[in-house]
Amino acid sequence: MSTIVPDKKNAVGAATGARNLAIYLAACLFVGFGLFPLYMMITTSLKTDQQTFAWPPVWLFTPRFQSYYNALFVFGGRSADHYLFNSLVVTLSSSALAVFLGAMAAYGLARFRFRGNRDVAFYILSTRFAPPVGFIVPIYLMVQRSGLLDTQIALIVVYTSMNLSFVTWILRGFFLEIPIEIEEAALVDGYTRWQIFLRVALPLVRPGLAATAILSAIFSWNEFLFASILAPGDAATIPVYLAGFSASMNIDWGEYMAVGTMAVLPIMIFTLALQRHLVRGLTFGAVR
Amino acid sequence: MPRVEFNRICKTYADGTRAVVDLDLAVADREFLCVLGPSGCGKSSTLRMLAGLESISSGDLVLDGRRINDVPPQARDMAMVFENYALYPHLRVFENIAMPLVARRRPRAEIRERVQQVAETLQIVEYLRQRPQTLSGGQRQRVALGRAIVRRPKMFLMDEPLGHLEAYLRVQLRAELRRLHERLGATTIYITHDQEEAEAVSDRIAVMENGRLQQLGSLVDLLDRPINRFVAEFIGRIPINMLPARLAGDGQNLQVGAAMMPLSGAQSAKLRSGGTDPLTLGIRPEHVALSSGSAGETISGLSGRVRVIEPQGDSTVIIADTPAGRVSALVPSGCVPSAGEVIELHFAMDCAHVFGADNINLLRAARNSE
Amino acid sequence: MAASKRADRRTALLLIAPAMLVLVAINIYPFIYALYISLHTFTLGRPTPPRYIGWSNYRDLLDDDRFINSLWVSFKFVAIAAAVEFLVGFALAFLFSAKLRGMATLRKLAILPIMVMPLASGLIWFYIFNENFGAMNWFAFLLGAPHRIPFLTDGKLAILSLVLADAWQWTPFVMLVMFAALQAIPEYVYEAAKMDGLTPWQTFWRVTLPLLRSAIWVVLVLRVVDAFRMIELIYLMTRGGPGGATETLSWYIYSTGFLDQDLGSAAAEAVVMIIAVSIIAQIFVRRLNYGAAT
Ligand SMILES: Nc1ncnc2c1ncn2[C@@H]1O[C@H](COP(=O)(O)OP(=O)(O)OP(=O)(O)O)[C@@H](O)[C@H]1O
Ligand SMILES: [Mg+2]
Repeated sequence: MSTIVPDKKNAVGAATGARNLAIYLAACLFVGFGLFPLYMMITTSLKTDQQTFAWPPVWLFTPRFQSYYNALFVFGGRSADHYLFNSLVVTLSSSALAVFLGAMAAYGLARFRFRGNRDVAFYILSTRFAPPVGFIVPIYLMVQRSGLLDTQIALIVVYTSMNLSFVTWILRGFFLEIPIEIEEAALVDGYTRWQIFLRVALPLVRPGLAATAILSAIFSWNEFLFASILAPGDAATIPVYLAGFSASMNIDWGEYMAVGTMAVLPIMIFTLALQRHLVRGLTFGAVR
Repeated sequence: MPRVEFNRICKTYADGTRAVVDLDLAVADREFLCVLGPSGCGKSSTLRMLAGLESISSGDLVLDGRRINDVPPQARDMAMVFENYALYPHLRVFENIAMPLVARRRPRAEIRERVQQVAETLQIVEYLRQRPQTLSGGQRQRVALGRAIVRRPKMFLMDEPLGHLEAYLRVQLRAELRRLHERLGATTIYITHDQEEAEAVSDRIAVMENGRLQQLGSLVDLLDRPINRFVAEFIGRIPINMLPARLAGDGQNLQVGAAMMPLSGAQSAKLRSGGTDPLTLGIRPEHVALSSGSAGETISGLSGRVRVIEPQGDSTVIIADTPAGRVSALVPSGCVPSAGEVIELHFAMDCAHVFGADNINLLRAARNSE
Repeated sequence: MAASKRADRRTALLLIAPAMLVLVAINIYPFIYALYISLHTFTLGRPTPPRYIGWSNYRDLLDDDRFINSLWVSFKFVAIAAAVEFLVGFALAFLFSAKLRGMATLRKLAILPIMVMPLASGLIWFYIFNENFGAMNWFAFLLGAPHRIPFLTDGKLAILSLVLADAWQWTPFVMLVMFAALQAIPEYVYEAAKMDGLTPWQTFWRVTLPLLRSAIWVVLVLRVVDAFRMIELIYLMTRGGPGGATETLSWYIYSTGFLDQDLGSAAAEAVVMIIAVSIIAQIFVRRLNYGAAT
């Protein structure tokens, strides 16, 4: 009952030991539930086939890295590193583009009054809700028509547009927080609007740029649907490669999980780095 | 029986700040107690401990003979006006004021009537439908006050409830609060920075400094019989004069600079028994009189040159440099010397205070014993 | 002054135009194009040119049992997943607000699933739910299940298995957002509530909940919209099966278009979906008070 009102540490009637213990237990249980699948993925990538299919499941074993070796250094055909590299190229380009274009738009929306400002802003926000699967057919045909199927360019453009909505919204919030006087001072000093944007405003929202860049990168890295349709072959990214495993009859679980681990772990590190701005980013600034 | 007792209450915050130290204080039933003290002296901390919002580090807090250290705020039946107003941002003014009644499930009609009545008293009827964010500081403060007085609690705790109002409204509302107190008789603890206000509303005034209670009494007590140098300096409309002094060899005079100030028999007895050099003479500007021109025959005069003249309506503050230091005097505006003039300052020594090396007032209660 | 105002407008235009250009190309134009395609027969890989057939793709949808089923499955999945994620995440936000030592670390660990590649979470859960050697069956066995449980191949269980996998990833998200929103409520509000004599229960309903309102909106709409368009878990775990039990609208569009290669029907379905989501999003955007947006 008393947990429904968060209490201050030194408030009267402070928490009892039994209640604290219950809270710890529940929190640990939830964290355990959250980490268990990741634990399964990592351990399976280190198991032999026998250990993987064992019943009852094997919990203690000597790890072996054969699956990683297989995934990366297989002869004949593409190995995981090719797709990891594709992912990296698409991710870096699309996030850089999204952040740059998004920052420009955000600054324009935050700092200039013009008719339709609000409509443009809300339109950009609303694209956050566009269901990708609803757009996949026409975009596929457009890409096919322009001869860009199975190229990274197609993915880069699509991801840029998908990331623009939240990049613009978050950065708009950051720009609105800069006291206008700073920019007015620069204007008086003879800077042009464009110079103010580049030399005064952008450096002031550096944390916002970092946060949106990381979030864009995460979404581009994780995206599967467009990647599977627009770049199923040589230009495939890592999720598409990963999905390919499930289609085969005899799944090599060790290698499968090794690729999965390599696709997921780098992002975890970003997540931890992003902590401070995560909520603001994920809710496009509606909650801090 | 005293209603509230603080018994050796201490408050040490997590960061080590000692906000309240060994507070002993008893507040009687139906008393209106004001707390005065410089910023950061622990007034709010004291009030918040009484409210139950802040845990008590050590000591006993007793309400009606029952120790209430661990009683949650809801069960203490006290209404509080917060220093920072603490209004609910999502509720309109009406709903903010109504909240304590809603919590007690009063009938709707009664709530409406009582809120309306309180709003009229506080002159905020036209804001009832607004949200706190759209109000000014003074308006918010009145809403906070309204939320407290809409109830009939055992006690009122008010942390600078009129601090953001203009003088006119402040005087009006403090009279209103005093009337309310007379009507309801709820014990009230009232923090303020305004001595005049404290005197106007309260039965007694407590002066705090550095987390410690210094003195308890009426404003006249505090002005005429300050227990120590801090109270003497803190209380008073115009700062008291403090001059280095020495007990003259005969023990009958106080030597200030070159001048000799005659002491009464009782005064000199007190100083001889308790006093050690160095001493400090404290004399309020109200008790300094002037005579202009050459040094007269009086030995109790100190001569000085007028430096500053501060008119204050029907009286004027004169600040003069004397060999013993700066002295200010409050004189009727009719007979003001001009700047640079040499004047003679006379101290009404029966109103003087003399502080020893430990800053204790050695002459306290001197006048009573005469 | 007027001249500088015009210059300002031009600068604003130049700043916003590139982003708008991208959005027009990848958002507005495709929508119009989808409308166009939906009025044609259009089969992937066939050389015959698209033929105009009017609204018949839409009319066909009304008689299409698979389409009707997919709407129902989508509704079920979204309703259950969003409800579970919201309620559990909301409760956990309070739990994780407890001021206890080590709580910050536990919180950081708890939100790790949010950023896992959805396809990879599908992979992991596919493995965990495996009927023959998956850990879930082992736990079921430990709890006394008499035989192996077909988590992904039983019609009723499959959708719940999807919900569990989805909830694994997104409950922490709800928790994180609600936690942040709780932290944003100033302490003095609770102090005022105590002095006003509100019980914890009254404080929750009359103070905390109203102050969380906009955060609750954001979280609910994001969860509803994102669960509606979720496709990765289905791709890996059930592929719409068994017997259409997990065939959501998203999956149905995907499979009509790219497994059955019937782009005309897929486009018609897509238009229906975009309009449905737009309505939800509009309600949301209108309710949210962005203050500074004016
Ligand atoms: N939550 C807290 N944590 C740490 N120190 C605190 C806290 N609250 C108050 N203090 C410190 O305790 C001391 C007393 O503070 P308090 O608020 O009681 O002063 P006050 O007399 O009410 O001052 P004011 O007249 O400015 O309101 C100050 O030094 C203050 O910095
Ligand atoms: Mg205070």
